[in-house]
Amino acid sequence: MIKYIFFFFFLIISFQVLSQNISGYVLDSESGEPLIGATVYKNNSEGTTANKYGYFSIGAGNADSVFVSYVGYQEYAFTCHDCSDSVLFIKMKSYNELDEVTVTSRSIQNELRSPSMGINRMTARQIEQMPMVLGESDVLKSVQMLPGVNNGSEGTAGISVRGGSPDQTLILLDDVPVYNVNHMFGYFSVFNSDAISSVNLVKGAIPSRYGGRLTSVLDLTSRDGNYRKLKSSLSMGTMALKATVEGPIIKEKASFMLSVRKTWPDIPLRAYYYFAESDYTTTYGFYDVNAKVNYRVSKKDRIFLSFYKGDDAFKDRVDESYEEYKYDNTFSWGNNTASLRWNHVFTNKLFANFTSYYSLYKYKKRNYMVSTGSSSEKEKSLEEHSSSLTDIALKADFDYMPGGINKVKFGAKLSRKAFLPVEESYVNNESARRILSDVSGNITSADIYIEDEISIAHNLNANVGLRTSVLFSGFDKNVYWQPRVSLAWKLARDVSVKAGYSRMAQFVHQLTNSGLSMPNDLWVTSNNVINPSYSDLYSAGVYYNHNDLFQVSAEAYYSKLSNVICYYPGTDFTKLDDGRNWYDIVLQGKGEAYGAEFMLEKNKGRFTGFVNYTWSRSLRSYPELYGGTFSPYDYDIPHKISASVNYNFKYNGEAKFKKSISANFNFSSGRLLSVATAKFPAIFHPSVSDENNWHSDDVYYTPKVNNYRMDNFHRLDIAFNLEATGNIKSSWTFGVYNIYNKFNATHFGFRNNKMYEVAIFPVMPIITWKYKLK
Amino acid sequence: MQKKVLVVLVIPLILFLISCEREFEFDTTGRGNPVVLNGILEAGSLPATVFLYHSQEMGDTSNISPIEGATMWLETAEDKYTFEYTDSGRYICNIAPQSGKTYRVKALVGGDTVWAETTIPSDTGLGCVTLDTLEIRPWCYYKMDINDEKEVDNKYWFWVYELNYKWDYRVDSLIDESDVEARLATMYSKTPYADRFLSYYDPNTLSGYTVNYDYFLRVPDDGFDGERVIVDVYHPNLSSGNNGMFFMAAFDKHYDKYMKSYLTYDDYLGRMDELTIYYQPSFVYSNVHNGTGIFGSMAVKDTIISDNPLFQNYQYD
Repeated sequence: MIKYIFFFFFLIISFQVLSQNISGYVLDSESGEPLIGATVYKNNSEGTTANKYGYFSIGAGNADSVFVSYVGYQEYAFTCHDCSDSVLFIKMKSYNELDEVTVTSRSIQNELRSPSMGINRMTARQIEQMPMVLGESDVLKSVQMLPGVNNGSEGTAGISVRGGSPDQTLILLDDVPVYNVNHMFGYFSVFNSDAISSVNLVKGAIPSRYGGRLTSVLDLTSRDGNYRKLKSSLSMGTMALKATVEGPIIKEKASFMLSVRKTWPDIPLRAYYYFAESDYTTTYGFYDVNAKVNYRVSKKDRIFLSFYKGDDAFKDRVDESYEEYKYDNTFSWGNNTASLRWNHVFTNKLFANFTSYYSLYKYKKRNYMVSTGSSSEKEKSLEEHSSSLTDIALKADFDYMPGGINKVKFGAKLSRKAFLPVEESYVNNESARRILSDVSGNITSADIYIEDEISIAHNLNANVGLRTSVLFSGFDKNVYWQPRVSLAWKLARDVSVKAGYSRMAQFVHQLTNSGLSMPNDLWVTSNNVINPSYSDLYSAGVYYNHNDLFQVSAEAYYSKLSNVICYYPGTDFTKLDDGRNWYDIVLQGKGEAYGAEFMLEKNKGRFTGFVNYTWSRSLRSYPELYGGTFSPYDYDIPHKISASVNYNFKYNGEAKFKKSISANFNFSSGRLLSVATAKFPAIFHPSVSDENNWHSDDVYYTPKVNNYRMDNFHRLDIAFNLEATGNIKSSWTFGVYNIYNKFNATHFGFRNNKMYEVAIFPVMPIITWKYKLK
Repeated sequence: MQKKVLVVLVIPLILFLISCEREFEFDTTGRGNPVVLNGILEAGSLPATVFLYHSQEMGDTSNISPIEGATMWLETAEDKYTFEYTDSGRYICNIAPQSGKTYRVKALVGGDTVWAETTIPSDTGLGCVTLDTLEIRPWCYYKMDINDEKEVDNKYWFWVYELNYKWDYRVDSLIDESDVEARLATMYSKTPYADRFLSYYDPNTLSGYTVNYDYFLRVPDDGFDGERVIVDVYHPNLSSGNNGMFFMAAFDKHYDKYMKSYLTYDDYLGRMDELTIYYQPSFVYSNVHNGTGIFGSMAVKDTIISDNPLFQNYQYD
């Protein structure tokens, strides 16, 4: 079948190869960084958008007028003369001095026409302006404000999109999957907002170029760094210090960006322990480093080298003389990622990106003990427990823009994942190091995809695609076909309707059972026992633009999930201490999610922001639980309202500060819990009874999974921002988190036959200082 | 240890972030106090026994309230048998269930019919138990023989009682030389077919017996079909005296699911005391309609291996 599909695409495209195109990059005039998603169009016809490298290609010939627009930038226009053979570099000026964020009519029209749906974009500036817990702006917590996105518990950074579990969202940083997105149990995400240039959430019709997860994709792009000037910034929040340096290596040709973040409260704490000569020391801290180097080898070739490293570490040391033992326990986890990308413009119709990447997630628990007494032979022992996932891949992505009615993307990927869900080892004086348990697995997968954005008629566009994934596990080979289609029909100048269908497959899963994002939630892979998961996503929406001032959208969706996994009730990661295979304690079932999302946005003027409402349901069914009937899933949040607004005060050009005020409001239905409502005696077979010293506890009767919903969650945060306008570019943020001190439980416990709930974010001040060096 | 580290790690963090905590109680009134029907039928064993109770509110510390005098009967495709009430919620029916037959129990309680059904498994697959020795004498282990039926979905369960004289610890002597007690014993096995849902890794045992099963060993026939399989079992406490009562059983699908879920649940409740912040529900399987509990069945064989005539004649109630 596949050869017919490729032949079909080839036939369509081959009719258009003779048309003329112009191509190039859209860049920020000040920094030289690409403007992702800029709209490029000619005369009054429809246009195209710059890809994630800022590259565009549009069918245009000599004397055609070409316009380029981007949110917050002045529109750029030029007339093409003999530019069809060259690669253009279009440098756009920002509207900074006008104090207003603007959005052009053309980019709105392009969005209405595009068959892409369920896509939300956020810029670094939007993320920075949102008031966040502990004053730390955070990419994932900002994404949680979008419609259809929920978090696990308050303050945490994990995301559930359209009722899926967090592992069902593919999170990419510079095209590299990131497997652990949390610092500090999820209260911070691993993404430093200073290092991120754009965030794209795709949750409706997912194009063929994305694959590997069931419900959504969060695509983050890091900043290239300034190609013209050396710049740096320093900021300090309640928990972390951030420092960023960027600048040219070769002016206009090569740049670098280095951004480092580190918790600071652990530094004075360590000093205190040192000077107090304390027998006990307990410290916690995290850091992360983002680095990127870019080189424009020629007009047609660019190379990017990206690197990320982040670690959390909890250390607990005891050195008591009277105990005659010294203990040194460490619990650490983190990600390392690296990618090398090469952009090449083959012709002005064919753009290619080749990527090789490496992604590692690991956690390790290490308990070391040594005797400190006078005995000649020191007693020592070392126990280690670790888990890791390594992902290595090669991929090639092509954008082919023949210039007519088609925009084609195609590519291939080969990936090797090595899993070590649980490894335990032990060594002491008497024995050499022994591996107590070692449960490992490897999978290789290959993907090819093709998609074509076709302009069927002036007001009707479609994106049709197919992704094929092949999973090699041992000697078995399984092929998964994933068709994708979406349609956009522009009913009037400012109204369009869209619909889409996507089939997705997922070979890796995260096993978790706590509301917190624990570093030792296990990443596991499909194998001969656990089948790959797959989903069918259906969505439809209507979009309306009112005078380019307000954009309104309503989307409905239905998702059907198969082979989703969960822990067998009553088991968790701690049950793997004894060396069993993880698949001994999991169940596979099916899921369903459906809902509707409504969004009102204003991106023009001093007052900007959005408000959205989501109605949604998410259900799961496991044959071993309640006869396989559907029950609400942990992320079943029927009602959610989010609002984020920002007001920029008028700046007269003389005041020492630019001022703005921003506020966030969140409301969502309470979280679900499974609660026992009755109890009764257990029964055993006739040959086992109490008399035989075998316990027979009561059975607590829980009529359904997730049968109790906690209090609704709601919270209002306000922040006031001051940005100095003089030579010293410092800025301050003052605000209040949870201004009316709502008790929003983050997690629950069970003690002495009673439930209790804990809220760790009452009303709190927000203070952040940022200093930019010129 | 991992749990400890996590607790130590999470608690200071929570305190640091100015934690607030409050207890709350659920109003369970009207949330459902179902009728409980519990009964396990044994192939060829008289009588068929079923218990009927009212379930209790969570905070209720009084004794369980049995349902007396309900109308209850057992149906097969051909026949219908009536239960008689005895005491403490116990209903008996004087039939010996037959392997391969499906039995449906029905009880009329307060106008509702509470019902469930089970198909009695066959004991064809249950072979014999033999004693063997390990390389390191005098340690012994036992071989349990399964002759699996082809194309039948079987769930085998094994457990063993350690037989001892009853001991009076107050006076540190035997109570009576003829008085024997049976205690469930832990067991180790190397079999690749066992479900390791309640097993522990113990690297310090003999001759590679590193997987310790918590009283029950479950062997589903997922890895074999119609073959003869030997399950080896090592009991550290039985090796010297060789006084053991071995049970081999085949459970029907409902009883199998119930036992697996109950044992996991019981283990989980024990761990909840250690790790309270990870509250997570656990469920016990039920196949009872319009109520809860379990109605399942099994075929069972027991074998006593002992040098002592007193133990050889031991009769289990």
